[in-house]
Amino acid sequence: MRNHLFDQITFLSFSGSVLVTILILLTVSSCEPLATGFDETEDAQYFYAKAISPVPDTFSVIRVMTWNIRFGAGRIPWFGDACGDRVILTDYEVYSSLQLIVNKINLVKPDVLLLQEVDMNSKRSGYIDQMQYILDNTYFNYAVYGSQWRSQFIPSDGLGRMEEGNAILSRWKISDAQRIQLQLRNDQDNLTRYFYERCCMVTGRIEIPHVSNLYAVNIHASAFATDDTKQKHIIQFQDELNRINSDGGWFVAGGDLNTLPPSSDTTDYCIQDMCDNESFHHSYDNPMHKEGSNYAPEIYWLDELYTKYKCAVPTDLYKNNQYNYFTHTTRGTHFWDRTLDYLFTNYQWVENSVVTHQDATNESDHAPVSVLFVLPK
Amino acid sequence: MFSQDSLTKNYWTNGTAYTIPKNSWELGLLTASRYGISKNLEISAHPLMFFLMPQVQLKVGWGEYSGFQLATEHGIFYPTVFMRLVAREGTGGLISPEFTIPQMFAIYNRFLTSYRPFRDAILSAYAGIAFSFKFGPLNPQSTIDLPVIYPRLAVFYNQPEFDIGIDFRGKFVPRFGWLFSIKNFIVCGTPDNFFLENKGVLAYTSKKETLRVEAGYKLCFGRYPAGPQWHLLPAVDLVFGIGR
Repeated sequence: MRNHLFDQITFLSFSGSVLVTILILLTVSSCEPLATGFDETEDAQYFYAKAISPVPDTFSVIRVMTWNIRFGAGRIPWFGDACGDRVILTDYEVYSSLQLIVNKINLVKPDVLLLQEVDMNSKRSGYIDQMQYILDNTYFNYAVYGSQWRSQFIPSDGLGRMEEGNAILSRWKISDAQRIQLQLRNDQDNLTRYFYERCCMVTGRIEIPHVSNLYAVNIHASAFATDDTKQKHIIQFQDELNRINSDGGWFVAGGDLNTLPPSSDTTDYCIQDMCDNESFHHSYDNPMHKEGSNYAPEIYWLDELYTKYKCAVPTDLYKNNQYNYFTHTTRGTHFWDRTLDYLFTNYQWVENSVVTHQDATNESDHAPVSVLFVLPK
Repeated sequence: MFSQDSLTKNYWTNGTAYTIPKNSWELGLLTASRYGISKNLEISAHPLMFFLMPQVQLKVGWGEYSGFQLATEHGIFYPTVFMRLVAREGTGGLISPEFTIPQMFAIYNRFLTSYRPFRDAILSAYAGIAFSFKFGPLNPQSTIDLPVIYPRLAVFYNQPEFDIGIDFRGKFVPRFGWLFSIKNFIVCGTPDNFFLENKGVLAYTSKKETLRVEAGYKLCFGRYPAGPQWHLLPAVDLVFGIGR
């Protein structure tokens, strides 16, 4: 899993120490910090398509979609999340995955799209600006982006430069876009945390004519935290939705919450996610559970969200046919085996309009979820 | 430090067309160390990095013509051990372990000329060319995209690589000197082809010229795979002189 690379942050040899020290001395002293920290709240970055596409004049509903696109890695066994040995992808591999992603987007035609794990200038994904690529190869006109992992050089596993984040894409202009910092993990040492991703939410107001105060909120919660960090992320997400709600606004919100729906039958995926040479669930195993794969302790963390707001896949619908709403698997050769991706609103979804696009098996390790949203009058 | 004596003794002359005097040593903590084999021949290598990234260089002095001191440098550079060491999992992994680093080395040759525009200064210019030889394929994504390192390994990914530069050094007062240099790397066969390093340091030399302390900056610009970038780095060194 991704944080395994950081778990091994021990200085194994003198030469390694010297190299890292030189690297840190060199780069910390440069104009740009080695890894970027963020303010609690700051403006998101705005992006525009090269050519502005026309927007329909009359409509009463829009389609909203969320998708963790896995930085254009498709189903390649990347070392950080799929028991793989790949770190640096080729341009061809990334462009092939991106082409599949934009094909799917152009087919489903969401009007507002929440994307997680969008790479912009990362060595692992060929330094391709995926944000601009998706904008320029779909009908979306506008996007806002919040970085959640920005480092000019990660001296581990050959990762090098990293720029990954969450984005909101829209046919209409987006205003008041913000990046909201989520709690940093507390179960890592300082050096690891310095280079590690900084989960965030991105929010923005969608400027649909005759619709006021419609906000989109996009979150990517921690995948591997073993403490209460993920719970805090969900609470921060909920607080943001509560704030919009209490201010009289409407929202379409969602993303990759990295936790299961409350009524899930299976809550422990340690065995499914186990890599070669790993062992879990035995008394002698330490840790007993694989990081990010045991959801049992957190199975009630979404209860309040489900109670207060409308999930695109309501509990009853999910409970009776969970398999149809699974959105994720860690293995490239496996079918979806759990639900981690969500959409919520404080207004109204079109009944039975939600689609978990489980046919999108090659684009990412997450399936997109789309639903029709009734525009507030 | 750049008294007339210092200059005739060719002290602090790395980067110029002057060679270090016969049987003299200059041991740098972070920069290459040098030894005078004969009056017009010196050998240099990096002490700390020698076992990881051996680089040996010979400088041959060709004498002075019309006030211009002439020299050539000829070096060999073997980065395989270093690159294999950092192609690893976990911390210190500057290169992904998925890449195989072949045996390879580079040879470079450089022409230098130095001129003394006034008594306490040396103005030098140089131009060189480097070629690499590889005994296996090297994945183009195995680069270390960092200042200082990237341009010096670029010749193993695209070649030939040219370097040209100027170096101007001198003294303010006895024992206090300065250096300003600009070094350009031009790599053929790639759009990520230009790198510039501008170094400026102040130096203090002990009375018997057995110790030199340098402190300053190195400003780097480069067209890296991620795009053009600037870096401002510290430039510090301790150099010990032996046999003066």
